[in-house]
Amino acid sequence: MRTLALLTILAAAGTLHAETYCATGSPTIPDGNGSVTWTVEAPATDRIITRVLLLTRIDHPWVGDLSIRITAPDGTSALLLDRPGMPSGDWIGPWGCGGDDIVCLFDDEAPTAAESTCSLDAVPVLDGNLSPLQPLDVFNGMIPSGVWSIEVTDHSFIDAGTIDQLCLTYTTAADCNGNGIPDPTDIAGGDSNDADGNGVPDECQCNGDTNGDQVVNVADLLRVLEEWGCTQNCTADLNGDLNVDVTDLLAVIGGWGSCR
Amino acid sequence: MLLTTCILALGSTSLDVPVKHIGAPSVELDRGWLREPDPATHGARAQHSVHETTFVGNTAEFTVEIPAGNHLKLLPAGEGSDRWSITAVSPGGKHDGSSDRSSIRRGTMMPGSTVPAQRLDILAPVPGTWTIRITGGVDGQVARLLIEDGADLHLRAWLNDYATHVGDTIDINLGCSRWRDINENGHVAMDRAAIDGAAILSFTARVRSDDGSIESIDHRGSTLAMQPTTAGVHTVIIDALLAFDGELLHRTVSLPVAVEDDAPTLSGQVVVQEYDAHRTTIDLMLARGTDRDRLITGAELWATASDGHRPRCWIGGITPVSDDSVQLVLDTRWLHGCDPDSIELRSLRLADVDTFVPLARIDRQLLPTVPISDSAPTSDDARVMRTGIPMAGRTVSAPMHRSSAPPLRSAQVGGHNLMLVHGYCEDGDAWPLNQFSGDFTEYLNLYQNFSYDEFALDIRSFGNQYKSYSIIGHSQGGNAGLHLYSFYWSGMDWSTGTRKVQALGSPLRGTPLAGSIADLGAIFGIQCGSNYDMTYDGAAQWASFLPGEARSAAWVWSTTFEDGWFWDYCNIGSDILLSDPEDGVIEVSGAHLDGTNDMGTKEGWCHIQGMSDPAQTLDTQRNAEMNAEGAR
Repeated sequence: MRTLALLTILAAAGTLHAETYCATGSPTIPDGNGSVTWTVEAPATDRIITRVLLLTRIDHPWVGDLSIRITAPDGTSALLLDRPGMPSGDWIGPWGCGGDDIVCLFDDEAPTAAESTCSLDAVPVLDGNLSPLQPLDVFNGMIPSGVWSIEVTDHSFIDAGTIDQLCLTYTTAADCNGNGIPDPTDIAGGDSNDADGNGVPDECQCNGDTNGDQVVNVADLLRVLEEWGCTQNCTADLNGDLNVDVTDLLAVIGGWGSCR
Repeated sequence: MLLTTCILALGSTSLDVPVKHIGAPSVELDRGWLREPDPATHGARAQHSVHETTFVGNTAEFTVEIPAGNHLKLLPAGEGSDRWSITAVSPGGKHDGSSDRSSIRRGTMMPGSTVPAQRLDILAPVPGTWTIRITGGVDGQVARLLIEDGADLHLRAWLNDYATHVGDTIDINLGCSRWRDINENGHVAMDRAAIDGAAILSFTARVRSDDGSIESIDHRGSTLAMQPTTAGVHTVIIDALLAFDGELLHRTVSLPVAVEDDAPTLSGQVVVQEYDAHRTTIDLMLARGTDRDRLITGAELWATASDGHRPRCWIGGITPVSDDSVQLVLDTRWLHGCDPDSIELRSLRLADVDTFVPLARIDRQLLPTVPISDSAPTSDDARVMRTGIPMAGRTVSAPMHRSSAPPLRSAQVGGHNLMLVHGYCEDGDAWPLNQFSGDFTEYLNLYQNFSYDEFALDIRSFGNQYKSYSIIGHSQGGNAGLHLYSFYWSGMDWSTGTRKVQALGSPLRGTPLAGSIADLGAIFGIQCGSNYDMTYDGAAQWASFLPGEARSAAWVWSTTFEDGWFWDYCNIGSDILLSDPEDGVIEVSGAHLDGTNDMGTKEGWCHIQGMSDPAQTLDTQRNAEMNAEGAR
């Protein structure tokens, strides 16, 4: 339910695409300085990450034993949880938070830090949207494709647990100019122009290409002539002025050749 | 794991310990649990007398007044007293050292003492002036004689006020009471304590300080006044000659008085600040600070609502002290529905954390407008309202535990254990480890004389090697466990199960031995010194800060000797100092406390080994239950 709600929110972003992939691995977390790693392969894409979240469901009677690290295909990693409640500081004892279970969504934008969340009564003790120890925005700007790994470590003997679910959600955006910054950000920040308002930076557009084949040639010239005078739903209206006219013809001539 | 343990042990010499912010419903005030006790109902009382003389040649002689009673017990004390010969000569001149109405009992002088002793018991003594003649000592040697005459008359001594400070005049009252005047809680019911036919004919009073120095005290009528110049426990000892129903008798009562200095002074200025959605801090500004790093506090919260102006809750606990203020924490859900401009503190107390002696008080203090939570509390909020949650910066410092004993193999470091805790001045023989199973550990810190607070923090420091634990406490160990659970966050709070403290033979209401040890401990071979917290007064002041939340987590047992025709005591010395039923150290009435889970009293068991019945800690049946039911 939480995942679905999340996807709905992210999908509303329009040019952003949200995708969720659940990892797999052994459910058992080796007790006492043992780790288990779950992996998930993200499909190939040329889009880049704008936000990452991790849905985590773990049954464990002493969450202060646990750390969670997520690593991207390129080796970049973030420590999301590191034995919450430790060092104890003002909290109850030196063994960290003794609460049961984690059912949370690690989210940089969450107002509450997972690391400092604890309760004697609440089960699951880490519940809802919680911000990670190290921010997940370290993955922003990278292409998600490849194998992600999520390592869960139990640092102390006696209390043992299992992983129920680890699901990676990321949103992506196009990055047509390959600068590592999502196109909408480039446009909004003024780093790119978008004269025709189509959401694609001008430097990525193939001016004069009426059929989207990345080549400006006779086919495009003929389409302009064919739609000459057209005022509605015109594929040859290259400047978006709701009229196919000489301006569009000049755009074809000016962009003549391959855009690749 | 081993590395972690080493770090815990060696990483520092002190620990930061988070404190609980206690809230209690007003019904606990109605029960009298969280109100400062009336000194007149506690104090000290004695049914015995202590006499002293010097051997001339090899003979020491005492002349004493003995009233009619069903028995007379004579316990001589001094080097080699178990080998002395005792002869008691009645008013008629009859020697009662060897008749069929007398007998010699042998044992140790006192609980925990290895000093051998003998006691001459005489049935139905003739009233009048007796001569007690002791032979076998050496010329010039001091001989003491402890006497219980069996007459139902206590000499009582009590303070006018528990606020006992250096330089102040401390008034002490004397009076008499009978058994019927002691209620089931071991308190004196003052409305019944006027004794017709009893009078204090004469008395002498002296005060023994911590350093062993003794000074006499002036008195007017039956009121004493002392003006201590040093802090510490000053034990007032009163020897009195009483008249009762036309007969004369002696009584000696010892009243330990904890005297404090460096008391802070409240300025009357209060700062109220919203801390979060439900909590408000109340800073009580100090006109004069204190070198103490923490105090124990308590205050009633009164507020006006549709049902009038009345108490809504009590707040308190141990609080760190800054240079210029003491901070209380209020969960404003207690005040839901009240007028935020009507909130006042009442009966505010700031007390010493080791002796619970009040250092500063305010009867009434109207607070600035208190931001009251809009949400009505639900049952899910109850625990947080009663204990708070750990708050940043709200810690006190405690020394690291030091023990010469290795950890038990049965204990899982980093695990969840039962912790067996011994009592005052332990010699290492408290709990039979072979009667416990599963995950358990044993706290050992031998021959210590801790205040409850020191003891609790030492347990906590030891317990830090475990994630969670509950406490099975013997004697003072039970008090310390309850203190820890009441006032500090610890692994006890993480334990699973309802029985956080299981206390056996614990002086929850105090024991008169604590006062007697102050006066007689060195004589009787008890080496660890006086302990104010375990006196009737100290325990009453301590208990007045214990909330119902903690009390309800404690399970409490007591025992007493098997009441046979011959053995009707646990120890021949403490039998004289304690009122029956008792276990040789703790009176049954002193072992139980309102609000705890009373598991009853079992006959045939004494406090420790070396007494007339087996040590109460060896009861396999109870140990099995505690082992099975204790939270871990």
